[in-house]
Amino acid sequence: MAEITICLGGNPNAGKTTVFNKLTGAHQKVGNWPGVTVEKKEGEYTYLGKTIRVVDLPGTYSLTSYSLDERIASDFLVKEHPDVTVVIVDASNLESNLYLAIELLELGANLVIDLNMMDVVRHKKWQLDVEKLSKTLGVPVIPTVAKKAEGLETLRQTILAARDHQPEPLKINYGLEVEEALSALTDLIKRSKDSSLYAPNRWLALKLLENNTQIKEWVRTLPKGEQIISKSEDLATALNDRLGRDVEAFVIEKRFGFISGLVRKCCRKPLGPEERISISDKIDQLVLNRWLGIPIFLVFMWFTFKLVFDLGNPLADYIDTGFSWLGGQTTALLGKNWFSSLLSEGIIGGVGSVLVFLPNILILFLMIGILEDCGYMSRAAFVMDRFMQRLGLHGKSSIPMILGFGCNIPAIMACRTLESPKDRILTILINPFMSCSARLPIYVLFAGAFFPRQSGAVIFSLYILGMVMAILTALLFNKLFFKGESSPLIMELPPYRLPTVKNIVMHMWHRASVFIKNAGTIILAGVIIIWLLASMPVGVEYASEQSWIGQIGKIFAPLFAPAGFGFWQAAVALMFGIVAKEVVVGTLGTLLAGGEEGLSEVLPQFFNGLAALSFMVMSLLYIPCIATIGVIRSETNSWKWTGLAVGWSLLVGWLSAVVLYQLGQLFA
Amino acid sequence: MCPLCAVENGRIVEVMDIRGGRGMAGRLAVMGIFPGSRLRMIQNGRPGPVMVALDEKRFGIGYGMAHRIFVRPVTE
Ligand SMILES: Nc1nc2c(ncn2[C@@H]2O[C@H](COP(=O)(O)OP(=O)(O)OP(=O)(O)O)[C@@H](O)[C@H]2O)c(=O)[nH]1
Ligand SMILES: [Mg+2]
Repeated sequence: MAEITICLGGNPNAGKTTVFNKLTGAHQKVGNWPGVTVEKKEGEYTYLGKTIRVVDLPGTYSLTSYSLDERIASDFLVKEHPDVTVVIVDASNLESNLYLAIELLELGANLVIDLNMMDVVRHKKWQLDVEKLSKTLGVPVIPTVAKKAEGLETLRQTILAARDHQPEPLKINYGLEVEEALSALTDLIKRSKDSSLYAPNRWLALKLLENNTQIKEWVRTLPKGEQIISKSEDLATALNDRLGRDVEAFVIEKRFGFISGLVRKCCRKPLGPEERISISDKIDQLVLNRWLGIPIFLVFMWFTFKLVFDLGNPLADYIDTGFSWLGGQTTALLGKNWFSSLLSEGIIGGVGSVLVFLPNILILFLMIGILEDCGYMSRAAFVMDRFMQRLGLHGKSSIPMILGFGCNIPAIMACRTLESPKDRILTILINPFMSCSARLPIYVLFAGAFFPRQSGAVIFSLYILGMVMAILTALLFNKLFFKGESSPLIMELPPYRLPTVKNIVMHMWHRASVFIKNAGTIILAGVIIIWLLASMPVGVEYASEQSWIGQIGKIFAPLFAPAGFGFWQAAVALMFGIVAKEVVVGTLGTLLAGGEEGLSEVLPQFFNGLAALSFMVMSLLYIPCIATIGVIRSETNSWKWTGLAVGWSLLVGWLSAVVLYQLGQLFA
Repeated sequence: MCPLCAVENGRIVEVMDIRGGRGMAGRLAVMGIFPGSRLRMIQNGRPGPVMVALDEKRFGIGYGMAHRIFVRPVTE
């Protein structure tokens, strides 16, 4: 049992997860763009004999939320009442980052402010009076450089020391009109409140005037909830008239007024011409250019796949040779019996043929890691916004799409940052067409075996095909199922930072270990089942048409004949690939390879070049893997959308493969 | 007064009015963009989104929204 619960809140990209990782020793994902963390993550550490439970939250600008990830954060900050709330403030953007802290001080949360990114402040030669800031706000303020673990010891100490503080809620004077309404509403709340709402009455009243829907729902649960809400709405309307503007905006501006007074007292910036253009801005004038933006992105992508292939393949070949040798040795050593067959054909042939592609996958994740760390991700949203809006999507939809090149599961979760439900659902539905890293082994294998000279280009075109299908699907679905506008883009663009080698290597290692773990669990299980089915019934020739798996495959094989691969092994591979896309290669390895012959040497006996192409297209498009289907279900909360995603991709995958093969035959 | 999307690169402007729905004004306000804020146009990608600076922060704002943020030039 943890003795103290603390949470880490703050604006997006302020460094919350970096602090979390440093405190708990975890390896949660960090990246230089807003919206990396989209769910609560928990961890623990011990300090001076005390166990401290830490909750890392998604970023949010305020306690009023506009998207799902922000909602998770504000719900926790307001309702869970942790012992200590640590607000991570990006000190290089003090004004806007203090806003959330002020809202929490008004709530009376037990705050510790972590002034992060102090290295940037020092670099800019600003002078920050931390002491004064802390005195004025009445809470501890700790300067840190989370990336370098600087100041974290003090932070730990302060958190522990602060556990029993009970600060008075901060009171900001909102001017006569608002104060009058506030006190009327406060009285009303006081009279009907029970103990389930610990928040101060004045704060609740204020949030109601601000039209905070979450708080409204919360207040509605009170005995006289409805009455309070309707009163607050009347008051807000009257205030709008008296102030001549929205009371919501008015209150926010008052808070910023308070903050700017505070910052003027505590922070001195050397005078500089306001129009100074930073290096980051100069890069942006190029990268965000109207004409160059999209070509720059495509060139980067092309370069990525070139590297994945040209650099990854020689390495993959070594591993391949290693496994072939191992398979040969196993049979030589154990003789021909069921056990050696399980080892050499099942495990080494199946799992081995997947593991071979580890280098390619590592390079892919290296490149994605660089993209995420340097600050490009939110630029991609910017560059693509206009195009995406035309498809009925949103600029931010491009972020899950890029993440999909790694794995569709976190990519679909990342859709939580999209404000409008329509944008979010649509972005989720098209995500499986973005080719994930589990499909890469299929391409590398087939492209290497059939198109050794153009393999880079072949793989690149597959990725492009996936994107085109995503785009067409978006257009179609938008017409068919959705009405109404996309929400407009508003997104912070963090400064470019040089990716740190350590962070990227860690990220890469983490992904690699997932890949290896998959190979050792789900893929291993898959190939063992396939091996078993291929060896049954007893006495049958291994992996022959008469084996059980051959019988199963033969039922489905005719379906794929028009696509050029109407033999049962391909059908089985695609079927089992639904479990995880790596299993496609694993299955082929188990069924076709064996002994000394590597999979890539055997393949041409089954496929011709055109059939190989259409098999790759089929594998790219045909169905999301089971885990992805599960996430689509949980994120859309609807079987209807999930069914649509599955059915549509089956149709698109099959049709594309067939059309490609038939057309190819016409022209060949 | 002109919409933000009509401002040239490098110009400094002051926000005068935000003519969007209630949600939009609130969304912008909590990010620090409200009447009185000073923005510097870094990259106007018209008819795509614009990139503006607010102090040290940089924001990408979609065209549709930049269309409804009204500003006036600030002379130094
Ligand atoms: N210069 C500098 N960079 C930092 C510091 N702390 C974190 N960063 C970087 O800031 C970026 C954002 O860090 P994260 O920890 O992912 O931020 P977050 O607050 O969890 O972001 P979201 O989950 O998107 O809300 C990363 O590129 C970090 O490497 C710091 O003290 N100094
Ligand atoms: Mg985070």
